[in-house]
Amino acid sequence: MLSELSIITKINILLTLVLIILAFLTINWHQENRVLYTKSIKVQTQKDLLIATNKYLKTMYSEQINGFETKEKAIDVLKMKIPSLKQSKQISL
Amino acid sequence: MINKNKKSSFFLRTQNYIVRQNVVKYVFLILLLLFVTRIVVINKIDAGDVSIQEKANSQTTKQFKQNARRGDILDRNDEVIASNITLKKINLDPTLIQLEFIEKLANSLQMPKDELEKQIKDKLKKKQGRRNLIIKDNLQLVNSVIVENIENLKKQKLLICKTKEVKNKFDFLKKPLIFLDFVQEEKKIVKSCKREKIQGVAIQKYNIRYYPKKESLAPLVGNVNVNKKGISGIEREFEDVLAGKNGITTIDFNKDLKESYFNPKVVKKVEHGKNIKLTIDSQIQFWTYQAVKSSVIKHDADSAAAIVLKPNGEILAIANYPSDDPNKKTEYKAENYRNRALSDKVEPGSVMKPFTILLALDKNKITANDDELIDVTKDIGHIKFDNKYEHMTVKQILQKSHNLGTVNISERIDKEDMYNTWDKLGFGHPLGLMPNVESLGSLKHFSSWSNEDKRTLSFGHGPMNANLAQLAKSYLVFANQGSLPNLKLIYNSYTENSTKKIFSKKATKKIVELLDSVVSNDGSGYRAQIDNYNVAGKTGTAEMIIDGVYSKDGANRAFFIGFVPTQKPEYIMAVLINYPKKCYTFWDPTIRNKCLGSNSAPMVFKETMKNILNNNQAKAVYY
Repeated sequence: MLSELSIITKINILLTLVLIILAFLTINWHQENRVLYTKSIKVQTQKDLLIATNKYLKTMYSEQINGFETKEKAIDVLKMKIPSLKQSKQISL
Repeated sequence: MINKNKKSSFFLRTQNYIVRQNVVKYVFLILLLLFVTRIVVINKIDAGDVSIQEKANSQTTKQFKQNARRGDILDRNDEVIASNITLKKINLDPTLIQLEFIEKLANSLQMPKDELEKQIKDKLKKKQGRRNLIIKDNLQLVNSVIVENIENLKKQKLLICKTKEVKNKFDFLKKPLIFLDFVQEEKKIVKSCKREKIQGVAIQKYNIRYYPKKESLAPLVGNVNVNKKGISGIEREFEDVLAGKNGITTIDFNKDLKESYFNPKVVKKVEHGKNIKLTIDSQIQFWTYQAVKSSVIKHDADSAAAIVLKPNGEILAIANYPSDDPNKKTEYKAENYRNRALSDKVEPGSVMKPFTILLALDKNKITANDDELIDVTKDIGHIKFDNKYEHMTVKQILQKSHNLGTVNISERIDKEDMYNTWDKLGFGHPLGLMPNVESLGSLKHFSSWSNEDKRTLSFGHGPMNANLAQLAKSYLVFANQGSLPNLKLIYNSYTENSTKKIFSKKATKKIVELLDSVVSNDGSGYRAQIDNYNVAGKTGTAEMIIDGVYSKDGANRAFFIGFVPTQKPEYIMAVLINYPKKCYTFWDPTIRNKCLGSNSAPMVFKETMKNILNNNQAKAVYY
């Protein structure tokens, strides 16, 4: 059947097939690129979230150990007193 | 011949051929002209300054601005002092929220239903901004119960029934009759129910500049404005380093297929702000601030400042009071962000006496031994005999902070030597810490001094003034055997080691011993004594200059500069209290006493140092 076709027709068929395959590949390539781009945006957002969380936790830690609330609670609520040097030595012994 | 006939017969058969041909020709010509005109109009007349190519590019290119993250400010132990944090807020649109959800919403927000209803009603009454009700803010980015509740609520569906008036479908036929009031318009009330999700509730993220150390560091660290630009303190001073540079990326949809247009092109790379690490120790800062604050309240003072240094010049704390919490953006008083330790130049008073005596000792003008007596019975210039002491040792002069005794010693020193020494100590020179904040102070050249100037300078008045940091720095000579290092505020910055030798080791050691005696039961600094530690220091009282003249109401400044332990100092601290009005005796804290340098400032030193030393002791025991 194919042998009956002229060489020009054969080339035309081949080129048409190549064109169709290329079109599909291009669509696929674009789709993959889009998926990759969407993923990269997601990863970037996650990275930003992690950085933000890290900063938040570090800041909160810094706030909690700054002594304001701790001292207020210790003195006002727990009625604690600052130990003298003598007392701290006794405790260590 | 035949052809000619054929042609003529064609023209004869087609009516007005030439005319019709011309019509078509001209129509096409006009169309062409119209196109040309349109092209000219689009490209030149309507385009303005932007070319059509640029317009096309802007439509096919998407540009994204990438905001630079502002750098953090950290203390010497990497504790956060200022940072950008992301928080969440719950924003309601009262015009959309269904009433059936109110109870569940109140439960999710952990607030009473009545209060929520009231807030929604109040918002709906307003003419503007009815669609924005920030019901909760400052919610944690992660693990916030309220945020989780709202997220779950947004997934839930409730049966929502609505009633609405519906016009009769065939009313349009009666329209003319309705218009002429012959017939009344009929409306039906229709009730429709369907399961709906809550509307008008949004969880939004926002960034704020947060200062976890609150008011204890506000005057030093400063603040940022709504555009996150530093407006005071470190934030302003190091704006360029902290702010970084925004980046720009583009996605070009007009590119050929060699490269993916989903791959953004970086036009300008984002440069995030750099972190700044200070030499400040947050813990020491906290204790210093607490001591300064309680002293201002106790002594009913106008304000106070204190600075704590390490012997190598590193600043461990700079505390000021009054001070504001920089997280409360609605309250901004420039006065409460004033870094008094750097910006206020003051006459230092008696805290300068040790330098007069040290210089005289260094120049072998005195021996400062117990057998050397200074005659303090004769008036020198305007400094009068006080009828209290006749002969004093140098130790006693320092202990009692005696003006006439110090002036007597200063008479043995040249003006030039005195000027050169004060100049080497850094008075009148910038500290180089925060050029926009610090005041240079002043030290007049000795050529312009009168004898009175020299005398008053010997006890910290006259031709000089300085800020508290300069005074604290000058006391570093006692911790460095007569040498003076530079102050350092930025931990990770390179500074040249430029320690200057000013006094001899021997003379400095002797004065340190004398300063130790000042903080004893016999000295003016008795209230700075700390159990089990040798403390050295000097008190000072300086009359305040108000409107160019010394205050007649007894307004003064109380100073104390000291160091601990005496022999191998670990901490140097300078305290300044502006106009203390209520002071009390040592033996009975209810009996009022005149406010001087001895009964207010030394207690700030004591309280701070006690905490620092106790903490060090505890660390040594437990680690």
